[in-house]
Amino acid sequence: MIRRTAHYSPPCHPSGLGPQPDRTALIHLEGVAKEALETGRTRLMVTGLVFALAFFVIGLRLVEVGLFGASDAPQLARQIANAGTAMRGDIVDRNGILLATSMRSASLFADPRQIRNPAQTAELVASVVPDLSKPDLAAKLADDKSFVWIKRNLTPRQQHGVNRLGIPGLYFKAEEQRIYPHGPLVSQVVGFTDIDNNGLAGIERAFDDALNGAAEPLELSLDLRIQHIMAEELAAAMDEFRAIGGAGVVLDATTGEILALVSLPTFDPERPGAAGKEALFNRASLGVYEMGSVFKIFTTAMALDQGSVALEDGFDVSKPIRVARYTIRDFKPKNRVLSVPEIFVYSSNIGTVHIAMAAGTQSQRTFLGQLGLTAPARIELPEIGQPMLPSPWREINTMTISYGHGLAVTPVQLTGAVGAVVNGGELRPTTLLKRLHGEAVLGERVIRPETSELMRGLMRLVVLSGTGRKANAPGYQVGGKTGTADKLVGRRYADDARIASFVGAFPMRDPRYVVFAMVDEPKGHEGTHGYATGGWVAAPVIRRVVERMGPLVGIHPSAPEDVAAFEAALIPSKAKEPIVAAN
Amino acid sequence: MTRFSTTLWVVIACAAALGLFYVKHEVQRVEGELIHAERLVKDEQRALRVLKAEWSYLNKPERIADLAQRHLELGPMGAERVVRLELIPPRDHERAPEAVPEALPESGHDPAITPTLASARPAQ
Repeated sequence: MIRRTAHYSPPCHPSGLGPQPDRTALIHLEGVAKEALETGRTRLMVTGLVFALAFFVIGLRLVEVGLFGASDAPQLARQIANAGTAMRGDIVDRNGILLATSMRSASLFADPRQIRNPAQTAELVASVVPDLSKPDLAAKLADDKSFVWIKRNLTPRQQHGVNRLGIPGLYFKAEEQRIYPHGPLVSQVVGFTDIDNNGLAGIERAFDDALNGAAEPLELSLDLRIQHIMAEELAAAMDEFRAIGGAGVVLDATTGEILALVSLPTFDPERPGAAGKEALFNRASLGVYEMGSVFKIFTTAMALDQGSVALEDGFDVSKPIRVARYTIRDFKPKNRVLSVPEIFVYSSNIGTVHIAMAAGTQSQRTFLGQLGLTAPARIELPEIGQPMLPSPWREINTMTISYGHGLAVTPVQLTGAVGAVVNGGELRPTTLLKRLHGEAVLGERVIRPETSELMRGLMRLVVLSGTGRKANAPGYQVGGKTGTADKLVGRRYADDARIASFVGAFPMRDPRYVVFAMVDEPKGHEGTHGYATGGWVAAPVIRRVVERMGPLVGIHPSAPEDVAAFEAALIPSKAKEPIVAAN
Repeated sequence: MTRFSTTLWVVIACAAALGLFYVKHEVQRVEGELIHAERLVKDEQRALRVLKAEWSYLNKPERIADLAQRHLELGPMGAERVVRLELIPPRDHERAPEAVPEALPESGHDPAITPTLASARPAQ
């Protein structure tokens, strides 16, 4: 402590000090007073400093908040603005068209004790909300209660109308309602929710948690236009052939995105309770079917890829094959030796069995597994069918599976597998969600690119001169394979119930899209000479779908091929010069 | 001197109090505006949702197809109507006078591809 005695003047007494001491004791007392004064001063200074520091810090913080602290304010404001409007997220198609959305809706209720004239009120309300019965409403309003629902989820127009009536005793309760603008067209994929907005089926169920309060819409891979085309053409075929159901899939073979997934009959997602079991059943992803001859694509691809048969190998198809209690016949028998391409193009069961046996049971099992046909499809739907496999997988199963009987798969699985055969030989995971633009899709190689090219040629030939001629959409180079399978009824195959299908891809020079159509239990008519096979029922669906979607997706048409040259290139017996064996 | 500083501080204190009062009042007013604006934003958002849903509903493919059939004289575009731009011959006034008019190729489509065994056969 520094003593500065000389500078102090006597009148300066801090309060609390005693009275002025007498002069004799001045020096001593002055020393004491001074010391006290000094202590007081020092304390004051320290306190002052502390306060100054505190205010300085507060000032600094003020400047910081005022000038620099504003960076997170807009975000905060947005959070506050969104807090009250967090609704279940939208679902859109790949072009951003709304498939499902949530809306604030108003539900109308009344306090009957406040309503003076129930009959007149009922009359007025019914004039605005037409689907109410006037007598019922009047009875409700005459009750001695304090609360009755009049109607849940009014449309905005109805709410406006009720408001304009200005009747006391009517009230609105704000609720959230799920709206499906495209209704039955996409209901099998999008699914539906219950009254409390819990997802019960389809994408609504698979992404139930993610959709709750989601700000960004969920983008599906579906293209609503193509979905519509497929649904319309399938419905027309069902009508024409008096079928009980149908399924259609359009797949982008390069990305694995599903552009259309149709299952008929369908249902209204806003009234799922009114729909029957048949309508709620998704045939495209949940239903498993023995697909028939379309499986010959896989048998032929496998045998050619592994080299178990060569293109010019021939098999005698004149005699039915008898194994155990089965007899394997051809639908339209050819009494001669057919080469591998002919067996495929004319869809010979007997020939295909020979091809499969050349490859062997183990190969078939492994190959179908690689194509994803023996495990459930991994798409983003809760409704996924479990494929039905033979157990044990015997030689007889190998034979029947080679032409599509004895192994049941879903249309989604089949489409994905055909995509792998035609796209150069890679199985890419199928998805219902839109992939990012330019997203690299990793695939697993299942056949060599050369085999894929060969299969494309054979599938094109089926449409040019084989069983699938009715699928030929001029300019779009459709290739594919027909399929007709008898349905299992109980433990036996029915004679009059079958599945007619066609799986195709286009354009065959560089396939981009795989198109599958299946009609359940079609019945032939005079125009088809009584036939209800894949070639008569499903192939025309494919032609019309391709013709309509071709211009939409920007496929450049190509000139028609010379059929004879095409045949000569692939079918050994029609080659102008003898073909030398490859090996 | 003391008088002056006292007066000064009193004036400053009064000014600060007035200023605080004014700022607080302003903040309350602006807050009120914000609440109002937020309500408007929410109303608009709600209206937007309704309009978006209605727009999507009005764009139902079957409705568009029906409208097109009733009001337009257009049909589905066949593949034969699609050609490459460079295959369309130049218009008369763009053509050099001495040039012999070229006929439009038979088809404006890509050439057909016929597989050859060499390219199609997998390596053994």
